[in-house]
Amino acid sequence: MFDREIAGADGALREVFVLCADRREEETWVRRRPAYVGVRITPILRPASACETIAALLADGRSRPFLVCRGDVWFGLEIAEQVADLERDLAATAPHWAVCGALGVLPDSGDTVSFLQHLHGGPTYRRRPVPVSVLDDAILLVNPAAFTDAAPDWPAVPGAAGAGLVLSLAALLRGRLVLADRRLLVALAEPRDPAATARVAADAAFRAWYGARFLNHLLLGVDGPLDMADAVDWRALDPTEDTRRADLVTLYDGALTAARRERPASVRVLCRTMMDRPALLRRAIRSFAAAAQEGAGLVSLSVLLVTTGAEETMAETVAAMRALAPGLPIEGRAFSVREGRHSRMDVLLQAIQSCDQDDGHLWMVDDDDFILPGAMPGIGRRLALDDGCLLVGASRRYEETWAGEGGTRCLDTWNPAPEWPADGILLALAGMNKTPICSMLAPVRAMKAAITGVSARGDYYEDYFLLLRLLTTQPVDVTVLPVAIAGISLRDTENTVTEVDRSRWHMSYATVMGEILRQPDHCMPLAWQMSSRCGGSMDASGEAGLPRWVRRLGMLTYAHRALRHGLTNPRALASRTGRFITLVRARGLRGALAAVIHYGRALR
Amino acid sequence: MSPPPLNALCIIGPPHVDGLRDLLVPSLAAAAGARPLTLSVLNYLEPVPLLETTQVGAVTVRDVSAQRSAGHLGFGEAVNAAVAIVRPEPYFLLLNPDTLPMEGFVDALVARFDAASRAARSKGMGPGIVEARQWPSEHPKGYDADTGETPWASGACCLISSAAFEAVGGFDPIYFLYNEDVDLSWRIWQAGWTVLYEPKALCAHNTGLHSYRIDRFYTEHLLSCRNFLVIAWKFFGAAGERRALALLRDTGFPETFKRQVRTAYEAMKPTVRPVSTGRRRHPALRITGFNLFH
Repeated sequence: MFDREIAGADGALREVFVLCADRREEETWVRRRPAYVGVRITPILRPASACETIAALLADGRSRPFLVCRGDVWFGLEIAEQVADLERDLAATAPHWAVCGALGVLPDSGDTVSFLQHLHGGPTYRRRPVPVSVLDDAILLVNPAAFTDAAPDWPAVPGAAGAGLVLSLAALLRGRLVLADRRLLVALAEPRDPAATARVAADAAFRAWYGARFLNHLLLGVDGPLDMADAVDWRALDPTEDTRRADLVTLYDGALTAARRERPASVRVLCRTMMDRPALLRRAIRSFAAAAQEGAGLVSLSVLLVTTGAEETMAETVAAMRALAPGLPIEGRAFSVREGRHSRMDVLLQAIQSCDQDDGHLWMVDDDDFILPGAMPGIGRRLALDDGCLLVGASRRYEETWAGEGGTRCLDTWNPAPEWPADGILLALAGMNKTPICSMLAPVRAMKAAITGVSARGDYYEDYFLLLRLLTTQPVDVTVLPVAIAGISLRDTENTVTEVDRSRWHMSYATVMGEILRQPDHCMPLAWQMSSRCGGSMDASGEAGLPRWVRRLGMLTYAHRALRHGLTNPRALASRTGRFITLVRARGLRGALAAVIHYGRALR
Repeated sequence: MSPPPLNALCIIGPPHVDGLRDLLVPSLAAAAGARPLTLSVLNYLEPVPLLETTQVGAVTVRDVSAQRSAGHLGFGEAVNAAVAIVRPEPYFLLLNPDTLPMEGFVDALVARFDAASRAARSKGMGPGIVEARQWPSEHPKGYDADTGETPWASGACCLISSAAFEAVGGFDPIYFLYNEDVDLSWRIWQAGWTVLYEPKALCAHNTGLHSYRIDRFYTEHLLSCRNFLVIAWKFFGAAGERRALALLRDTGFPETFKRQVRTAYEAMKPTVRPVSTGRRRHPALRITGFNLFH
């Protein structure tokens, strides 16, 4: 009825231990047994401590991963095949794993990844195992190879709850990975008790154990942050003291690095440059070099400068940039614009097609943009086990003025404008281009496939075109990182986004979108189809098809954002007021109008 | 004629070596232009050199760690040791290993220093510190747009007058890490020199602050809070201490954390030597909020 692989090398059944809260639950599981193939279900009635029970199961000398679940869950009839598949996958991609569950927390954002079905929601859509820091204990796949100590030192938290939390922390302390995965999806017969984790965290034995090992005063649990401030030893923060405590995220990063087996995720920065603004290019290269240092261990960063300018100038530029960042692998390539195409779009297409390696990610950061400090840890964590995802972060805009000319040009003023949030990606399929190209890291293989055979005659909207091609022709999963990863420089001139004559924008939009809509081979995602069904539109602002009252509300929201931005950024407000007065003095009413339009664009 | 040589100091530990070699030194070479510059680095952990002597453009890098005394030094103590070894004249550039000077950085700092020195010749003692401008995040503190005067200068990237540094006795080693730059700035103001800010000297600062998370506190939190109490007591006496403790109480930090800060401060307090500012306390010396000095 089941093959040998599912059953294990010795032909044994997959062991499932069910922690039953009462006799009725135990009887239910006994009745359920015949429905499941390939597993041996063992109900355990009212365990004094789930943590202690698992310690005892590990102490019995098991070598094969086993399942432990609560009595109130339902797993699928194919659980044995699912677990065997998961085990094979982990052996290939994350052999360092210790415990896997159905609901976990990402340690740097507190976001949850859930494969639990209950009244209030369904599962997350993630196909690859997701490394997490802490698991819920609805169902756990425990790898005995990760817990080889003679006697595990974790606390015997009383009751059925707490095993997910305690095992996760114990695994991280051992340098092992903790994961949430779709193959352990379970349905819950009863809603989860969100107070259960808080009760575990309040247990005196747990707090003492935690405080002796960790310095995180907030433990990001599956039901929100748990306050551990009175358990941690603050002396651990003082470098002159001998008290040492572990940081959960550092342990998590260490486990990821070990799982990658010295092969960090590869990210290639594709930087378009015409080599005519060296000061901005130098800033960009410095930011790439700093990012490479910041992400060392988790990400391997390299740079490809691309241009439609002269090949000799590119060679000189590459040499100068290598001198500026000797530790950063930098290459350069000059392309000729193909007939009937435009440089902005065509240089990207040719550069993507010229990538010699299909694995890893491409990050398209132009020479006037830059990578922000603090971006790389989150990127590294999300790409560590998911080579094929499209990663989207936020980007921060800066209104800048530069003084001087050519090589001696230097940054004079900068004012942060509102961010493009990472979840703006949701609007991409409603006709709205809210994801700047430097906010996304695209998988090379999928990106190359997405642009194969495209006509791509447009000039601008090249970022939107690439994004739509990727989303509508390739099976990519989208991962959102709620952190600003790139800076975008807005200047009075030189930026295409601030061009007053919009004719190239309009021509490009019509050309680009026309091609997206006429492709015979792509799938139109449901979100897009439904947005047009519900009166949404395909124009760039996404507002034309909306009812009048919605647009009025939009005006109010816009006014509110302008006021809030001004109040929270007094320096920006002062700069804009100064600019407004200067323009009014110089050009009268037209000047005032130009200043308002400029501010409006910056806010959008 | 090439510009006069300049000394720069950088305090490092083993984790900073790659960044220094691949980022700071090449950027400093680009920022220095034709000006000969010697970057002396000192290992704060132990008297063991971490770098070979190298030459990149006009920048010579040398490790002076072997010449220092034993022990794990705090930042200020390490700078004092480096100054004692190098004996820079008439000023020195102080750089954090996570800074990247931009083009024009060195010339802008030196030009400001020289101009302020010339202007002060008839009036007073001249500039003690000229602070660079940090990018992309600046310290949110004000400065006089005409004179460049600012209440205090960040020690991450600045030009310091050797005479002023020596006259005030260098950094106070008691802080170990954080707030020692505010303390130095205040003593320099008190002694009659000025602390200036030069917005044209731009320096990228890839501080770890950008990666700080909400689920934990860092060394910076504990030591800067403790040192806030120290600096308040040192310059403002019992009244300053009372106010600083009240400000600490009003922060949203966990109670156990505040208790640890107070415990660490109480342990240190007997070794702090209060500064006698008398009635002529310089107006730059001010506390405007919790760990706010501007």
